[in-house]
Amino acid sequence: MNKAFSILCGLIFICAVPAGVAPVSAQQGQDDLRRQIGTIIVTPGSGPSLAVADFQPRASGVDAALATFNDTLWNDLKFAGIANLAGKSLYPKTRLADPATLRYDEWVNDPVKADYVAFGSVLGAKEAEGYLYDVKTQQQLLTSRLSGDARDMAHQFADQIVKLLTGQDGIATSKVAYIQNREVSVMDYDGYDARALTRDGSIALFPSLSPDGKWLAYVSYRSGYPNIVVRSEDGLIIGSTQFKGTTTSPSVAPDGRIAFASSKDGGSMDLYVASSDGSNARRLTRTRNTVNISPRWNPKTAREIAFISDRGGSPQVYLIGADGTNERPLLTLGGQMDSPAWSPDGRFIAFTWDGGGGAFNIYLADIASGQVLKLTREGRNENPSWSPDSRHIAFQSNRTGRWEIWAMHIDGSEQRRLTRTGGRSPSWSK
Amino acid sequence: MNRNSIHHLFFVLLFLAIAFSPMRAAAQSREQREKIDRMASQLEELKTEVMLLQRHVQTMQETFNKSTGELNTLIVQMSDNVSAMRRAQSSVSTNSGETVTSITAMGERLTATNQRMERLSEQFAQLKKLIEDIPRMPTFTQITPGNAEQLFAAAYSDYSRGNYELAISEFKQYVETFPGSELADNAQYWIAEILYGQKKLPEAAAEYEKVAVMSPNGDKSSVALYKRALILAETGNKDQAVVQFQSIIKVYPKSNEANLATQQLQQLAPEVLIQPAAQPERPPRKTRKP
Repeated sequence: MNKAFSILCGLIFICAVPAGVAPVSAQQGQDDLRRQIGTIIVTPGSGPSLAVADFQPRASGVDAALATFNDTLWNDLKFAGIANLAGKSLYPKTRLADPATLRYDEWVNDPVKADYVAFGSVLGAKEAEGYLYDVKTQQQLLTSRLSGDARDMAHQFADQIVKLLTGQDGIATSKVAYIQNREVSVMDYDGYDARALTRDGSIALFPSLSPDGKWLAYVSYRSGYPNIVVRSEDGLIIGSTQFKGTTTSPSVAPDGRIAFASSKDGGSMDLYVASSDGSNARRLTRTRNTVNISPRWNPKTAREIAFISDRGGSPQVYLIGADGTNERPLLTLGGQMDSPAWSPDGRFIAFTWDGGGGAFNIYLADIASGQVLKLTREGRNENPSWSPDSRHIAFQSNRTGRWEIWAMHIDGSEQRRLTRTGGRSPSWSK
Repeated sequence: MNRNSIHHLFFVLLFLAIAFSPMRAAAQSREQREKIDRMASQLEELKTEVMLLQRHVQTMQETFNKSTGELNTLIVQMSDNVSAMRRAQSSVSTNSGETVTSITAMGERLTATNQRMERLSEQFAQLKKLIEDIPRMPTFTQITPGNAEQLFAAAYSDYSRGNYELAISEFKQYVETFPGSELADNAQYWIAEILYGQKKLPEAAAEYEKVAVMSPNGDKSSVALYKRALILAETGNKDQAVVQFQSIIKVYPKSNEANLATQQLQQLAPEVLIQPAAQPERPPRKTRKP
């Protein structure tokens, strides 16, 4: 969270009295929610076992591409959370490059005990072929001709495997926008290939990619006041708001509409919804001496918006219809909440919460039951953003002594750092 | 034994042979006569046997002739029967020919079907295994029969996830099963809200109206009436819409919907709009009601 904005909110929240309403038994809720999420993310001992044999070279001079390919493919499938990866040290010593050399019993039996085996060959620096076999039924499930650089080919093959085993699109080719050095940057979902998206020479905050990744809305001080700027994926400015108060925390709906918070011309901080170019801003909330910030669309329905309001005393998560109707609290657990993020499948909301104790962490809430699960425990963790497949969350953490972008499974496992030179406010999209 | 002894034995034996030869000839003559007598007797016996055999053969011939006659009769009868059968068979041969062809074709089809069934069974088994093995995406909320809270949560979860038809079904079940519960009007509201989102305006208006009837002072009554008024305006019933918006401002002056109704009146009929009183700060809602 931007320091100035934190101070602004902090001054308003400082005297807040925790709502003190606890609608769910915390421990029971955590256990129940963890059990449900256990059916989404494969944990050790559950789900199928996938062996990923190192691809073999079929040409000279491909050693570097081969190493990159194998590392990337392994990391993609490990982070996908769709299967337990059988350790490579257990694999047969025979090199597996094509179906002719596949001996099913070597992979089905101890010690590998795999259900599926992925393998293949790198044919050149930008060409490879991959296979996926169900070694228990001895069936070929996938044969794929890949092209591109080594990382692209590995991402493609990983997503093909995810699609085949789960029926859902993978995230290996998704991207994360974030703030670095006061500008918006974007990187691959695994932290590679970072590049700057804006060069405003001002201050950029709170980037928000549209669910399809084609629009970027963010806060820019380029007009003198913090306003929302919208850019297309090729960097062209589509439009912006022109308010003279504080305008912040944009969220882009699937249809391009933008929700944001603004004190407009110095009034109270309220929610607005505008067209994709920032025009036709329509006010949703009308409050006095109240802060309403961090609106986040339900990307599945685009009918409701989650946001933070301190109208009940302390900043908590509320819901409102996209037309401004049916405003009501969603989570009233006391303490201070911030930055809600609605999962792309519409089922969960991730948010930042201090749990009433001052240590900010990422939490997950089931929309319907209100059950809450704590996902992070180390350092200060804020600004969650969902992966397109609703199975992963990116966030910022200062656990290494500096704000960096991290990502994890939605059960809190597999936490991995994506940036090495600093980063804040991730926004994950296709 | 020496050589002289052998000579002595030879002469003794020669003497004996010459001395007994006449006795031996007389004995042979007697034996020959007895033998001829026996042979004559045997010949008579054979003549008798031949005569008996001839008689037996004659009897058998007679029996054979009789049997042959009977057999011929039987053969004739069988021939008649076979002819009758063939006639009968020929009368149904056309149909049976088609039937046989059909049965053959059916047999082939059955074989093909069985093969397909086997393949399908294999594919089904593989599919079942895949389904069992894959990590599932968010599962549907489990509902214990009779548990109102779980039913409402499942319905709202399905609404949030865009499963609208399922959500409508669950909300309707909630309203029917727990009509007196605190969330019954909320369930009714979400039924109307889904229909409104689907642009089923007359149906949505009717469902919104039920919300205010069920619980006039409930937390969904103002928004339900506001949405109903919106539909009236959208469907060309401007006058009725204006009346409804005015009613909302009057009955629920502290609600956000009163603000929204005022905005609508500013566009629809600004002349009827009395300067709205300043909106006091709304008290926070403490309850969590989706």
